[in-house]
Amino acid sequence: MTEALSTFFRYSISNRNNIVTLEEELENVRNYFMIQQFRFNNRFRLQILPVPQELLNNCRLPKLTLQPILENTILHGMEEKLGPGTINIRVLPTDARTVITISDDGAGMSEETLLHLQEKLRGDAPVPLKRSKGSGIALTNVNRRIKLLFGSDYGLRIMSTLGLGTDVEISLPRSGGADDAA
Amino acid sequence: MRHEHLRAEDIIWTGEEGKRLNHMDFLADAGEAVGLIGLTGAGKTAIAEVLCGEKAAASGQIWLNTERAAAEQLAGNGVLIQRGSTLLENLSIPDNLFSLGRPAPTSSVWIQENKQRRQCKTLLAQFGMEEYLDASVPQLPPSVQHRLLMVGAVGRGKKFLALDHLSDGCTLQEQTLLVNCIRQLCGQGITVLYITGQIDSILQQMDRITVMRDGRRVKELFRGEYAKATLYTYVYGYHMDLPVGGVEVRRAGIPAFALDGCDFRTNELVTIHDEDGSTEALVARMEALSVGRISVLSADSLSDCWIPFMSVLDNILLTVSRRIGGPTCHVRGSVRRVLLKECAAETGLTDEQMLAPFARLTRIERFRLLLYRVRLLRPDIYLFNRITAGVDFCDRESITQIVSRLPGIVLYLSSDYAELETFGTRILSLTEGRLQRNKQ
Repeated sequence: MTEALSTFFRYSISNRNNIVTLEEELENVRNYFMIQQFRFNNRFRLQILPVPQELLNNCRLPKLTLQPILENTILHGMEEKLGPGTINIRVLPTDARTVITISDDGAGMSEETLLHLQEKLRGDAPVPLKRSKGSGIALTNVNRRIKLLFGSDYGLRIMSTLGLGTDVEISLPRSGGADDAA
Repeated sequence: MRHEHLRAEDIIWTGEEGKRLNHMDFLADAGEAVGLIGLTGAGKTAIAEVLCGEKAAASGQIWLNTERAAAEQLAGNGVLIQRGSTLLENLSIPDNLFSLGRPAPTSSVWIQENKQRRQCKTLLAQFGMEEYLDASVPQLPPSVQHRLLMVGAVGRGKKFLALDHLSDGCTLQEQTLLVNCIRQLCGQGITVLYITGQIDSILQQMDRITVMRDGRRVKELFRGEYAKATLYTYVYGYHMDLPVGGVEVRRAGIPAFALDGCDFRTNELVTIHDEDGSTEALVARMEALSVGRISVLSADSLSDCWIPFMSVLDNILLTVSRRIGGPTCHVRGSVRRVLLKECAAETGLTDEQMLAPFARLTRIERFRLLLYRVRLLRPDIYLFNRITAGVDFCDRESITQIVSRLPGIVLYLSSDYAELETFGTRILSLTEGRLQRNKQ
C-alpha cells in the first residue's frame, strides 16, 4: 500500500516526461486502484484485458490520461453503487488508431448529464472554471490535451446508460504516433 | 494488425419524422462482422444508409480506410441489402450479379457475356453456390436471393455489406447458410454489418455488437463477453427487473407464466391494447425470460414468410424441414403424403390448391395456412401482432373466430380497442414494452 502511494505520487508530480508509454499509464492506474481498493474495502474489481507487449511499449499518450478517467469512474459511477462493481480496461489497436475503453457497471448517468458532457467534449458547451464534483472538467481536460497533442480526429467518446454503466473511449493515433507529436 | 475500414463520429441525420441519428458513432475493422441491434426507430437502418452513401449525413465525419470520405466514395465502397431486396426476375443470375451498375457492352456482346458467365461461375463456386448459375430467379427463395446479392456485391468490388433484417423469417438452415456466407466474406476482408431487432443465433456469431438507442451508440460488446440478458438491458436502457418483476414459469400447472404481475393461463385468450407500438419490446422480454416458444404472427406474415411461386405444400415442407432441422429434399415421400392430407383437412384447402402456387390463395386461406404452419413448430404462446391490419371487415371476423379456437396461450395485440372488446377473456394494456394490469 505504501509502495503504491509513493509510486503514484512520484509518477503524478514528476516533470520528466509529459508523454508516457501505455505500460507506464497502466501501471499508474493499477497503483491508483490499489489505493482506492483500500479506501473502499475491496468492493471493486479492475480488469485490464491482455495487451500485447509491443503495444505497451510503443503506444504513447499524455501523462495522466487514464487515471482521471478511472477516478471519475469511481467517484461518479461506482461510489454510489451498492454492492460490488467491475471496471474493465480494453485496448484495441488498429493500423490507424489505438482505442482504449474504460467501462464500468456503475450508476451510469442520466440522458441530460450525458448530452451535456458530450457537448462539452465537442466544445459546444462552456466548461466551468472551478472544479467541483460532476463538473466534468477532468474528462474535458484529458480530451483537450489529446486533441492539442494529436489533432481533432482523436479524443474521448462517452456512452452511458443510467443504472447500467458508462464507457469512456479514448482514441489515440496508432502506436508510435506520439513520437512525432512529442 | 487490424485495419480500420469504417469509422463514423458524431453523425447527425434528420428524417421526415425528426432526428433519427443523434451524434452516432460507429466503428468497423476490415473483415469484421459487426452486429447492430436496437429497437424499431433506434436508427439502425439510417446509419447503414449513411455508411453506404445512400443518405448524406447533416453533420459528422466518416473515415473510409482512414481517409475522410464523402457520400459518393461510401456508395462505391458499400451496399445495403434489405429484407425486401430481390434479384431482377427478367435477368439471368450472371446479369443480375455483374451487369447492374455497369454500362452495357457496346461490342463483342457474345464474348462479354461468356466472360461474365465465367466470372460469375468462379465467384459462385467460391461461396459454394455454383448450382444457382443457371437458376431461374423467380424460383429462388428470398434467402438464396439475398446471398446471391451479397456475393454479387463482392463481385462488383464492394468492401462493405450492410444486411438489414435478412434473417427475419429464415429457417434454421437458411440462418446457418447466411452465417457461413458472412464468415466467408469476412475471411476475404469484406466488412459486414448485420442489422437486427432481435438477439438471434446470427447476432451471437458477430465479432462486435453495437447497441443503438434513440439514434446513438449506447454500448459496444465483443463476442463471448456478454449474456443475452445484458444485451437486452442495453437495448431497452433499463434493467429488466428479473428477480423483482415476478416472472414465474409453471409449465405443468396454472398459470403458464406471469409477466409484470399479469398471469397467463393455458387455453386463455388475452387481448392486449398496444398504446405505443412497443410489441417488439414485449416479445423480446418474453424471449429473454424464456417463458416458452413464442410464435409472433403479424399482417406481414401472411405474405412475407412464404415463397409465392412455390406450391403450398412445398412451403409447408420448408417448415417441416425447419422443425426437424434437415434439408427439404430429405423429407420423405410418405411424410409428404401425410402432410398433404393433414394440411388439407385442417385448412380446408383442396388437393389442387395444395399443389398450386401459394400466390393464388385468398387472404383468409393464407391465414388458415399460416396457423397450420405455425402449429407445426409447436409454439407455447401465439402472439398475434395487428394481424388484421389492412384486412376488410368480413375477413377480420373470420380471423378472430379462428384465433378464438386456438389451444394454448393466445395473446392478441391490436391498437383498435373496439376490435378487442368483441372477444378474448380480458384486455391488458401495453406501455413501454411492459404489461399493465387489466383495464377493465
